[in-house]
Amino acid sequence: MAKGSLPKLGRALRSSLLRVPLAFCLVTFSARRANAYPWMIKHGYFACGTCHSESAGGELLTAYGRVISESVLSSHFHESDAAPTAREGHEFFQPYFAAFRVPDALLIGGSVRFATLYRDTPSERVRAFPMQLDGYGDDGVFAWLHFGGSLGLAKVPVGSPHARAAQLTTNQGDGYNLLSRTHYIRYEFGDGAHSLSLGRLNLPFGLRMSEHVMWVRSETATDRESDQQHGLVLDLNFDTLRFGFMAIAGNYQLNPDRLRKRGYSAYLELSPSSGTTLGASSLVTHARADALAPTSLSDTRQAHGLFARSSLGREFVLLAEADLLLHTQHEPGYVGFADLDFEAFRGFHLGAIAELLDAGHTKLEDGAARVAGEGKPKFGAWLSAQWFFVSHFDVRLDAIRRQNEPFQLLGQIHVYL
Amino acid sequence: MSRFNYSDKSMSTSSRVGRVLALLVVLQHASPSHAHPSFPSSLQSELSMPCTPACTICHKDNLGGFGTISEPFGKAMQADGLTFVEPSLGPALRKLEGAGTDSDEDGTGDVLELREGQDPNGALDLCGQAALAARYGCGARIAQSPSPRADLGGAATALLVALSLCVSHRRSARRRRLLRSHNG
Repeated sequence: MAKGSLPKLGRALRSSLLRVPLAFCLVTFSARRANAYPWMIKHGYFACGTCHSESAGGELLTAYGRVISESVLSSHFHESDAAPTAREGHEFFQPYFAAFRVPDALLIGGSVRFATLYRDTPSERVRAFPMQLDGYGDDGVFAWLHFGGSLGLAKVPVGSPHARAAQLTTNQGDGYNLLSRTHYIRYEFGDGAHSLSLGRLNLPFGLRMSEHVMWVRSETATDRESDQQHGLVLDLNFDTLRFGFMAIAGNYQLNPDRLRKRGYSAYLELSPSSGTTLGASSLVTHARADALAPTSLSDTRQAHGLFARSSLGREFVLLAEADLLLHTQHEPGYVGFADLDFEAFRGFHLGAIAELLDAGHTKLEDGAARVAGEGKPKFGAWLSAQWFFVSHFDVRLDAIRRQNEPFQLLGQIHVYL
Repeated sequence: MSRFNYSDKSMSTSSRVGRVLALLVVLQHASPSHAHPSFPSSLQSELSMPCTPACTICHKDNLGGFGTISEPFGKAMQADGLTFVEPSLGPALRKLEGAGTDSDEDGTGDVLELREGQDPNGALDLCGQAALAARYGCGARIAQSPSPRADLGGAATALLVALSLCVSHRRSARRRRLLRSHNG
């Protein structure tokens, strides 16, 4: 490192330490879109890092990503509106914080999602709840060093598979908890195309989607909701190749240590032609006990599979994933997913999704019957409509029918802060 | 170019946003807000158990969920009327107790075993198991809010504030663009 650069680094770090907490305080007043949509492949975006601060997509947008979000994602009702420039994206904060200039290297955002769920059950059919309350921040100290993460709130019942694993506070009941799904230090190289990150991060595996309850995500434990792990992630991005590898150190927001999973997760995605990608994923984790069913038995889980994205003409995108599931306590199983997305007009998407799951027959119970989803295939189908009706907002309605489960209608309104 | 040109027939963006705002308010007040059934803590409360049992007292793992009841006690409760909803828990327990159901056939009824912190499916100490269960978080706690309605009200207020700020930003951004184009 050059002479004199250490004091400079120290000043930059101190400045960053002040800016990052302030960034989280500003989150509720910022308004820029942030999410991961694999069907963006049809607009020619093979690499998610073009628009997102994280190279595999999701969460924060770069300044370029904000421009693309404004011009491509949401419905436009007045053709005379010119698309905003990246400069305007940074000037967003000025009307509210005239005395404070947001540095170009600081990215902040958030996500608020309300849901109303209808289930065809004998009673208590309708439930309304805040599904997500998260803020995100990423601050670049020099061009090659970033600090960032998320903070949020959640309230889930005891035994819920959601949010718990990302808790910072220790309420084990059904009260509110502070969450941090991701937090990291990131070193970028190769003109920002590649990165090495240390912290709590999304697992690099399969299609990165927002539907965390989809079986391909829940059964492989690789969703963006709370399946993140602490570890070291290497991301490489080339013109027609993306590669991600994570050395998993375990989730240090989960106790005791015997329940923490350690291992690796990785994916490789190639783009043989414009608008089409093919990928492979692999994951192996081991814990001294299974957090889902803590006993004296150790728990090794594996998932290996393939995924694909393909733009079929201007309006259609096909997404698909299939994974082999190997688990210490189960016979081999599998999970699959296919999603046909149709953009009827800009900003309005219709989707037809099919799911398949057989997690494998249990080895723990002699003579246990094979049931759908465990020893026998289980099927699921979704019909979805999602409308980005105005910048920063979208609404979504899902009709979900899964074998041996009550019919569900899930309505969501989502604002990207 | 958009395949739909709304410029001649659509209402203004701010009017449209205002209608969405009203719809949001209606949705949040029209939909009943019920707490999700929390069977482990309800079971502890119902029987004054010494600890909160894990979901594996009935389910194959702590994810719970539909179609995953695999334990004898869970199946016995289903047979006595337990369904997806919390109000079915008490009547099912009383029926189980009245029938003297003993899922692990060890001579002690299921409900009595639960009251003593024992596993009705076998010889395990439930509260000892609870000590092995997952505990989440790093430190500190958040005080509980007074009511579920307050939770939704606070979140809805935050959403409405964000919505109004977005509308205000779009107007100011449009004014700046028009000014720049006018000044050439």
